[in-house]
Amino acid sequence: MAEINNKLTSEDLLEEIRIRVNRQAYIICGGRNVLLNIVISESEMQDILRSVSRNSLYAFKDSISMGYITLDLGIRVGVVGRASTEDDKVLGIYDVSEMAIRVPNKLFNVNCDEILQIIDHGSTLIFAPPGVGKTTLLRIITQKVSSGERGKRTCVIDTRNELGYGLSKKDTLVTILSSYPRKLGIEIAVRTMNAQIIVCDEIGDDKDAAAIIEAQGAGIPIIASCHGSSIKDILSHKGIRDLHRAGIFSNYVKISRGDALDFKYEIYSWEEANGYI
Amino acid sequence: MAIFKLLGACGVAISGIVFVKETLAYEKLKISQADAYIGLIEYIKNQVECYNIPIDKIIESCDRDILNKCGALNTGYKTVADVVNSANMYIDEEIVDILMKFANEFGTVYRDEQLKMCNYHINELREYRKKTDEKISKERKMHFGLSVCFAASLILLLI
Repeated sequence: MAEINNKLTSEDLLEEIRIRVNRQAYIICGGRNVLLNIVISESEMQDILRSVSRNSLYAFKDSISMGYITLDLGIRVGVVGRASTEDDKVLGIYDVSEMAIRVPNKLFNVNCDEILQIIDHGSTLIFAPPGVGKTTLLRIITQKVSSGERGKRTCVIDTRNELGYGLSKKDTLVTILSSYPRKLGIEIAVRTMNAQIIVCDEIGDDKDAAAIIEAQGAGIPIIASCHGSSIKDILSHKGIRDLHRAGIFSNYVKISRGDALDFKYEIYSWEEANGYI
Repeated sequence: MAIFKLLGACGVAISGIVFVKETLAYEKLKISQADAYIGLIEYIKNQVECYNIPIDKIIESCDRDILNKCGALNTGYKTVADVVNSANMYIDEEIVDILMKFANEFGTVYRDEQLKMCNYHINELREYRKKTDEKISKERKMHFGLSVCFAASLILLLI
């Protein structure tokens, strides 16, 4: 930890710690990759894996097979190694060689009033490249729409056990569906939980698209996020394009981070986005 | 005079029986502890099989009575190793070693392998329990027989 602190300048924000077997660890801060003089052995990596899996690797098999473990505080740890597969399905990861520990940061000056206004007019898709803070922003939005006198019943489909962290406050109307597959989660939110708003993270594939189209049929607005650096980029994904063609999202919001760690928004209406297809 | 000899012989027989009972009580503790560990591992196995929850949650929800019988009298255990390390052990050292191995390797493998590991250790403990039970039964018969024979011989010698 002392070495990490030495490598950081006062303005740097530690974003990620990468540890690798028999190779130098490095950190990502302020978009820079900084090598550290720390090399860990295979057995040390096993100990770390054991620790992050709470001495219960069996309980995290599915998420490890998908490349991550989520820690208690909603911190995601990426895990890669040698995959054992069958019919293109990962059965387990062995000989873990690298871990990426995302460090959650407190975001200052988060003003999402602009987004809250457009949410009132329909479903919204938030996009940005990885690491900008889509999940954090979704949490803040969820917190705001589900609390207060005009709080709405908000169902969070937390497929990766990451989005729901910190949302279970007493005075909010949030329902968290932890670890549910997205399609099933959306169905439950619509049919049994009578949600007024559905929030889900990192959508993109065809199954997601079908479930969201069904939910939209019930008239429930969705706030979702996906990876992408531009509106053209996200619309090149079949799932998102299907959703767009079905007229699901009224607005698309590209987020980026300013110098003062605040969010910058670029909002596109459906019509504007349509011009990029 | 003969009455004193008879009383003395009875005394020898009774102390023999008391000695046997005390020795067997310790053996019974071993069986009781083996049973408790069988119960604990079966509980862990069922929780892993049905709910796939982490070990700290499993131990937290485990019946206090089972943990007490395992010899783990404290609270706040997070791993099987915590339970085994802090327990007062009555069972034989070879079985303690097997339990330690189970405790140290628990949580390092995926589900199917973990369940197999639980089954293997349950079987090992059951085998140990069976052997100890048979040993107790044999020893009980032998010690009882020896005590009675010794007392009878003593009477015959003293008459």
